[in-house]
Amino acid sequence: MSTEPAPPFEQLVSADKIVHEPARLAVLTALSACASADFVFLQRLTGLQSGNLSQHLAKLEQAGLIALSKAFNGKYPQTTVRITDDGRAAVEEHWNRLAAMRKAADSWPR
Amino acid sequence: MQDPQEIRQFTKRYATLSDPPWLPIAIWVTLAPAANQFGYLSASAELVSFLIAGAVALVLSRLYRRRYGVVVQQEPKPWFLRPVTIAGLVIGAQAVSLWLRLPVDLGLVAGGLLFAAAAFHDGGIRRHLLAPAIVLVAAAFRSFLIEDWQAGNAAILIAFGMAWAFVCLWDYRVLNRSLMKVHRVH
Repeated sequence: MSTEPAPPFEQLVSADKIVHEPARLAVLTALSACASADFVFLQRLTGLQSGNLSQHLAKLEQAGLIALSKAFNGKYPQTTVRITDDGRAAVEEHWNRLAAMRKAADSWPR
Repeated sequence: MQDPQEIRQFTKRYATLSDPPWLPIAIWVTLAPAANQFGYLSASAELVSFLIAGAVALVLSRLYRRRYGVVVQQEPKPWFLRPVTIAGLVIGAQAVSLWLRLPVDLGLVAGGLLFAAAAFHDGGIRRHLLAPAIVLVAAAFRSFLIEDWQAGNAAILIAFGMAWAFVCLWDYRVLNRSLMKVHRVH
């Protein structure tokens, strides 16, 4: 009996962890559908606490997938987020990979 | 698994559901001009009430942005939703109506058709825009419906104000329902 994992599992294990995390994937997917969005919208979308979302955004920024710009709107800070070209390519590729894995899994005998 | 289409659609639509803060102005349009026409409100009180409604709308708009955030759309608005095109079409159609002395206000018909086009744009997310569209088209034919010119104008403003208030409230409903739907998908 072979212990070698099936190719879709291999693919899943080798998925980009930065992109694959659900909250970050939702953020990147939303940003890929707009020119830019602010922090409040992303918080509404993900339902995350602000500290938690900040951490996710920092990771994405570090990876060069998004660009953050901070400004003040009156006395309120406003963080605007936009996806980079690398981020757009990464999220697109990730969704394509997930779709391919799903298709492969669907074709398995039950 | 998250549904990318759901998230993308939601993000694209988010920016279009922007009318809720206009609710005070819509209520003002419903009540104030008609009240003034029938002598319940002086001209100065009408102006003051407009300024108050405008100030409340401004405050609501800031609160709304702070609560729901801002999304800048990727694609530019389609040509029929750009302010310059809307103004040009409405004014042009009304000019034709006046020039030919038609009994129908073509400017209002054009306005109604543009509202209808906006209602069916982007997957019909704002189908409720058909309410003001119907009011405007009906208003264009008011000379056939109401003989008294002043009463006709008041009726149009009341109907349009109510339709606009409905759009504001429905935008808010659609926004919250979409948010709930996206969270369910998560």
